[in-house]
Amino acid sequence: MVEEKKMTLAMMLFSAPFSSQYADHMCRLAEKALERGYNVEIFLYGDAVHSQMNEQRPKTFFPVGDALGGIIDKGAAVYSCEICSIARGYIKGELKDGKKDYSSTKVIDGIRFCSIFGFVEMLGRADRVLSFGGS
Amino acid sequence: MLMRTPSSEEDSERLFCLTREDVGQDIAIYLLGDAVLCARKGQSGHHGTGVRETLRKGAQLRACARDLRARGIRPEDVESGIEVVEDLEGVLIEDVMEHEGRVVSW
Repeated sequence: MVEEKKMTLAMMLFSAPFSSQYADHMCRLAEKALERGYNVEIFLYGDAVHSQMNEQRPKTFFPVGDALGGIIDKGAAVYSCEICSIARGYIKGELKDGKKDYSSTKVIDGIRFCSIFGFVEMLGRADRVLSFGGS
Repeated sequence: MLMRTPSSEEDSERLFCLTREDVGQDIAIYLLGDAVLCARKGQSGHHGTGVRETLRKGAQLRACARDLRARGIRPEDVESGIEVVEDLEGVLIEDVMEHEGRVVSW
């Protein structure tokens, strides 16, 4: 019996959390897609990388950090632009023992850093693509 | 997938021009977040005209019930023909993954 391949949903977030609801919408939709058994891959670009900051404590806003962590726990692959993350002080990204240093005490567990080429590869794996924010 | 309100007449024109041609049956517009403000009935200008024209052309408009409630818009305030959906994210994902190949996000 051939197992049917799960469809993959790629989501790109271009806007910072809290200043708009784009991150909220993306997280809610990602959760629904995971509940329905689809693969979910997310790419954070530009100010959207602030969604990866750990220990966010919004009092009344949608808890983007917690939601993103929950999505990762449920199996989503969340990629973050390394250049955007270096620029905003999340990682150093310098070469260390022949590898880029992606260690950080500032980001949610499970975030994967990659270049913009990783973003292109993600699009190549996707059956469907949704984008959020950026204007 | 509309997640914000048009910020000008030109913006509104851009958002709703997709439905101007006779392709309405093939288009579904999902209103989330601030975009649910487009669902309020009786609006003037391109904004109101855009919504009514979109419905007249046969496109489906669905608004998120949670986001309508958050903005104090009651079901009776919603333009006739717009479907108010409790689990809009679930319906949208189903639609996108199983039926729609192309999604434009605003």
